[in-house]
Amino acid sequence: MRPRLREVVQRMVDEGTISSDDAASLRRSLEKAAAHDQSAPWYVRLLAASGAWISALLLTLFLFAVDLFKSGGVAVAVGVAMVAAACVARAKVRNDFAVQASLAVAVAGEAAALIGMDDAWHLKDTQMALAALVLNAVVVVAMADPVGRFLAAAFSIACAIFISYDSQVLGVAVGFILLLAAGAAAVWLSPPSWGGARWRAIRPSLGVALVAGFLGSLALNLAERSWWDRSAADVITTAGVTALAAFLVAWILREHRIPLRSEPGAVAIAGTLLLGAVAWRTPGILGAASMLALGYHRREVVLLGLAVASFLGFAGWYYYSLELTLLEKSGVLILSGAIALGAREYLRRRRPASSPPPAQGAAT
Amino acid sequence: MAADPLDRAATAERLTAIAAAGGLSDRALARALDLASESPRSAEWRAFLSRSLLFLGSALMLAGVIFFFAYNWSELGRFAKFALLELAIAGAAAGAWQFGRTAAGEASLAAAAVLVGPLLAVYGQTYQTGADAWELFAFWAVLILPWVALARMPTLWLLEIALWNVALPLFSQQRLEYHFEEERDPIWVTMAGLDGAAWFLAERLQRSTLSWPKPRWPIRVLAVAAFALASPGAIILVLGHSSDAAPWLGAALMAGLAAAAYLLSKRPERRDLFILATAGTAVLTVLGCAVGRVVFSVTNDFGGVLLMALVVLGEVGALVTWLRKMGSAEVDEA
Repeated sequence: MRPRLREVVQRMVDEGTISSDDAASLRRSLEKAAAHDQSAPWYVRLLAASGAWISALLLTLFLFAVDLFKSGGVAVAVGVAMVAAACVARAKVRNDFAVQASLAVAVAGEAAALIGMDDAWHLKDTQMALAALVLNAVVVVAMADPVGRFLAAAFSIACAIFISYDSQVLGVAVGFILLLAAGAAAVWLSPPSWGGARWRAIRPSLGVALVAGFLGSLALNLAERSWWDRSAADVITTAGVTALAAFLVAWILREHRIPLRSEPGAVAIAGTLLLGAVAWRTPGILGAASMLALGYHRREVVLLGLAVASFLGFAGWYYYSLELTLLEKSGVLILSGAIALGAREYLRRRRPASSPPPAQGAAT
Repeated sequence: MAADPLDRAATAERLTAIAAAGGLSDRALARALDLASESPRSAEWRAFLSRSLLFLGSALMLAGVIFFFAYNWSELGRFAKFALLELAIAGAAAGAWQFGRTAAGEASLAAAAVLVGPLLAVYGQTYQTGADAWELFAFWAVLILPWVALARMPTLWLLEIALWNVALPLFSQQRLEYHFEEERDPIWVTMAGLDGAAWFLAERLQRSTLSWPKPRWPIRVLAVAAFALASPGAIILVLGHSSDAAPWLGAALMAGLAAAAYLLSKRPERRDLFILATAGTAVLTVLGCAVGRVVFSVTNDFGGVLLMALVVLGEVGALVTWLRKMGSAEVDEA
């Protein structure tokens, strides 16, 4: 998915951003850079996150089992101090054991602080969620670790989804789903070079958490919604997701210098609108397809994985929930398959256009 | 694969680290970050969309055919049902012949192999053969074997192995009258052995001079399945809940699989970090259970909980450190 360092360096030399001497100097710096390189494949990060969570769970269990906190206030103070200490420590350490420990202490500290708040002030569910949201939002900024930032961002977004649902106001709940989609698109479409070093470090973790939150809230949308009008929610959500998907397609076309009024541009937009109209009862289908396009556009393998898994789940739900007999469903499935294969044939028959590199800075 | 650092993926973290080490100016870093996340070229987009639509279209069509026959439409005579299915299989096989070794050809052959299952199901439904479910899957696997053997398609081999992974537990339940949750049931370890052997064979084939396709994902699926199926036996053994042979076999198999994962990854250019991470996770899960058993047998619950928190930290920290070290020579896929 991602280009190799060699390709990036060659492109920069070719376009004159760096000289051949600079490229040689870059090569010499690679060994030194390796010591500070935090890159890791997604499964190593998943492993680190799981380890931190399990350790934090055990640590929290221990703290409360030994009755260390005599009152909720003490738990809040100690919890916040643990989070702060973990953030400071993480910024200083490189060793993987210390990194794991700082992540676990941060999560355990958050748990202690939140349990303490509930004990001291008997907060309502929404207030607890709001407190957790704020605490985690601070961690997203303060914790200099991609795994820690993702965990905090994901938890923060989950709390916000809970608050929006708990409001039992259709506009708020659906509006928040669309806000997550817009946020995910804004983060991933913004140029990676944009902003300061801190934003650049936050961007990938926040972006993945926003996409996960968006797809998760669309899945939640399919579950029990006794307090709202299902059809109205579906129509509003689908309309919003369709508008966003069309915007995303238009953006990608613009980066590839393909006019909207050209045949490929018109077909891409029409296909997006058609998918939104056909699957209006399951907005997750178009939502996942949009995130798939976004992930491929930005060469993010984690986004692609999330989108593919969600797409399969939403598509399965769509066909399962059709109020039709098996025979009728088989007809719908075969027709859908034929349309997909027809679209592929259309793509194949089109004369391959020359493929200039995407417009530089088109996103800016 | 090669160990040249320039062949590593241009991740944002890596580029930032290079800039911090003085290898890139601020301006060059900004440009490098944009280039590393640049949208793929139009031709790549076309190929991506083409493959996605082919997969989606084929999957929907196959699901439609399966739904059609699952409906058991009474107005359609038995010969018409057989004719429809056989025509579909013949059509798919002809498509595979026509398209050859292209994505469309491979999808056609996979469709033909999948449709053999519904054909057997309709046969059983029509003639009430009284066959057990395991027989359907086993016959399905046997009947498509010539195609699988000739096609040299990893996806078809995966289908073949998946069918045996369904047929074997059904056989164990329906013929040997084991229950899947029973510790003495050797089916877990049998399936782990099957998937492990398939994984090992696939690795050997991929490293041979045969012109096999080189995707890693089917091999990774096999490795994950092997470790996932061998682990329960090893965990039961270390927790001391069973004196049956199956858990011992599971533990021995897991040790063998872990050793194989390590030995297969000794040469950096052939290293698969994903499989090493899978093996490491499986081994540490079993080790964690063993340590937990010892800890909670000698200490009170609270101290044990704290100790286990530290053990998990240590285990995962060690594994991540080791994976980083092993991965430093690998071309990662970030």
